[in-house]
Amino acid sequence: MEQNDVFVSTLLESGVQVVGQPMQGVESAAIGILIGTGARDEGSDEYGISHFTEQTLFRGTEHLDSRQLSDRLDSLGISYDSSAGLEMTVVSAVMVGDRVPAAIDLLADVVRFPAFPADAIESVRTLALQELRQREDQPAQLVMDTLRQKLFAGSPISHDVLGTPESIRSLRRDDLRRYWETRYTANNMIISIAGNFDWDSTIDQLARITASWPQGAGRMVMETPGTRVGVTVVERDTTQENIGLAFPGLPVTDPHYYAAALVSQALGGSSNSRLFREVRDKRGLAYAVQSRFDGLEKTGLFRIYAGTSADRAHESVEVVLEELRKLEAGGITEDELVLSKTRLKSQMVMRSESTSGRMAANLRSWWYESRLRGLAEISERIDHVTVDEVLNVLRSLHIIDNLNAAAIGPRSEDELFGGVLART
Amino acid sequence: MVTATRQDSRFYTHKLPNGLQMLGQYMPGTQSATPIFWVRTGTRDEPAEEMGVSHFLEHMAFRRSKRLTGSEIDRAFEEMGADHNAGTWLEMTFYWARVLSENVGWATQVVGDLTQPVLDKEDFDQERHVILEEIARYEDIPSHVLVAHFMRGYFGSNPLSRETLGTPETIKALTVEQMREYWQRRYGTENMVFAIAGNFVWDDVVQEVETLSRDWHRGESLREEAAVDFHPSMHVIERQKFAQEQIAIGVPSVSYSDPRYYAADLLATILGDDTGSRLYWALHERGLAESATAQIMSFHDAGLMLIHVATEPDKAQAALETAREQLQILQNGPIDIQELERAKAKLTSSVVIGGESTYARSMAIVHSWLVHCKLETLEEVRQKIEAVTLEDLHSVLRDRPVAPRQVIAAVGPLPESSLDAQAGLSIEA
Repeated sequence: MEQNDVFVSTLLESGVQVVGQPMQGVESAAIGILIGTGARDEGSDEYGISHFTEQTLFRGTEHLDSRQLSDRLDSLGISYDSSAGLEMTVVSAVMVGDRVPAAIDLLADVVRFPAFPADAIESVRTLALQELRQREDQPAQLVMDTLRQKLFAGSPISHDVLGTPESIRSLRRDDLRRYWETRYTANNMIISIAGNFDWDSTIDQLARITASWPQGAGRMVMETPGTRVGVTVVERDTTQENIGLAFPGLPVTDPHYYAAALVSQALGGSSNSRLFREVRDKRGLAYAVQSRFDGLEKTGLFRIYAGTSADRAHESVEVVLEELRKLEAGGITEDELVLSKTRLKSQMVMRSESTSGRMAANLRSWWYESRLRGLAEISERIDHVTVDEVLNVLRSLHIIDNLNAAAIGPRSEDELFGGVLART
Repeated sequence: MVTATRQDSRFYTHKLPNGLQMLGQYMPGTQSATPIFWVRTGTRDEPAEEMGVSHFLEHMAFRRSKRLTGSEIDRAFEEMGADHNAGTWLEMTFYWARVLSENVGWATQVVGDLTQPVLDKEDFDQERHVILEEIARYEDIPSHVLVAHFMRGYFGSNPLSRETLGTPETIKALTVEQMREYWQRRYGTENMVFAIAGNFVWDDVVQEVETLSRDWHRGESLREEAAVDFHPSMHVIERQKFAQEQIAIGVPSVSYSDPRYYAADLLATILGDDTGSRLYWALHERGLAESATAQIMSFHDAGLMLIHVATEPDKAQAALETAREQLQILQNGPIDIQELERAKAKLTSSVVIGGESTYARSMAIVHSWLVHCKLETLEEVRQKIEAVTLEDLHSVLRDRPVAPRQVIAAVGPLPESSLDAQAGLSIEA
């Protein structure tokens, strides 16, 4: 494990932060450029602009049109991706190690010299509108997104990454350029490289390339959001009822962050979890039932999902609620804690085996904490969590009082939640 | 800087006295290993009236084995921190766990146990509910509904047309006795392969599996082959509950043991890789379809190329015509040598990068064994890809034309009458 915990990091003169992790025994390398901007940083007249901008990046630069760029990446076997989320935008690529210098040149071009061609913007707009409609065909995804939007209603962290049809239709080339100019600045970027590459020559190359990159205001300040309770039911002609429940969690930097992550494991993180046993194994109410916990910069959230037949939806809600009450009142057992720790640690080590997994973990860790954490250090933090700490965390969250529920499917609000969840 | 790469790996093979074939690939620099028990049986091997029994049986494996109860199985995986699952498809059922190397022996035992289920009547009745929920869930996933509908249209009466999950009717009618009989027949050691890739000690693993499988029965290893009658046709089903229109176009391609497999794969990459392919430029980049991809779907004795387009209902006709036009151009027009070179670079690169995951390598060596009866190194695979010429691509196109004869399926809000395959091109040559 020790060999994978060798990090290097440097702050270039331009203001770009670089973090690296050479790995033994691999031929590939992964590169990621994080730009500290996402849906939460969008104004009310520009919802979806982070995603829109990011989707336009690979559509041509000042030096290469989209076909030249694509052909060049393909001919080097560089597989690339870009995504915008709530808090960050990431442009990344995986390649065989000897192509790292070429990949850096191309990714730098994409991030700092996008051309925003007019025809490409129209095509991206059309696709962004399609993406919004396509999500309507993914009720499980839609219910999870709805939960976050409702739980944090009123805070920017409730924004939808995909924007709204109105905002997507109204965004202009100038809006994209302005957004890119103010956010894609050197001091708002982290570059992470992991795998088979040479650190010294990479740093020289990056210092040279980024020397002229402008600085800007940096990361936008985010207030700690409040949360709301509520019930949202969308009646729809789907076969299954898609049920979701959410409650607030803890931010990534919270000292009790891992206690929260362990709760989610014990509640619905595996086939040995409480929800899986009670909802699926014992009662056969659902095929898919799970919980997830996401930590963000200023907050965090737990979400539970169950997909059940319409006629068994109410029973499923009752069972899940009963488990949440038990959890809040009694916490988790020593045995559950030990198992959840093993699972969380093992997942982390296995994810870190791939160059792209390592690259992404380091980006995240630097963005949230301005430092890198080795696997050994994280393992130690996980090991320190106790059942008492978990219980204290659970009680501080006031799960039942803070619940936000959503459902998409054939049943009405009353049929689903009547008598079991207070209306607000 | 790099002392040993994961490509400096060692291969192992061993056949146990009971007929079970064992395969291994040691990967330096890894901390995990992935043992897989692979059973050469799937939906195509089921009696027609028992459709879905393979997948249902895979669920039952986690309910109770001859040595462990369901909660002991769950708990064991939890205690070893395993990432684990199972999968069933037309020609395969497989069980795997990815664990840190210190738990390899234990994981091998528990995964092996999964292939020896008790198949208790009460568990069976309980799990039937879960299967019915799973079927209902997939009914809400447009791409799943499309592919199932397409496969029925493409394969007709051939067993490859069947649905892995079964239907609510077949699942309700299935008895535990039928499942026991199917298990007895198909889950013998002669019909199984064990594979492991990553960080492990081979001799220990052999010992483990030999002890574990001592009393396992041999079973049969036959598979009925059936010819595929290719009938160009159009199958549209209206589903108002979906917002988008999903279209599939299928044409014959090669089986996975065909020496032209990589040529066919490169052809699909040129036509419809996620990015930078002909369909990408003609459909995605122009905003005509949110996704437009092509891939090879290969089986033991058949193969096809599947083109999948997801788009808006009002663009569906134009998207369908454009995709078919691209197939026509691929069939009759030139292929640029640069296009081939780029496709090779993508494919070899993905072979190298994919080769770094212990799960992917474990799956790959099973595949290599079943197809070639040997374990191929990544270097051998790379050389096969590099060796493909433009003439090889044209030869595949001559033998397995991609136009104009095609099977087309569509699922979405459009009624049958509003999608027209005849516009511009005809299905029948």
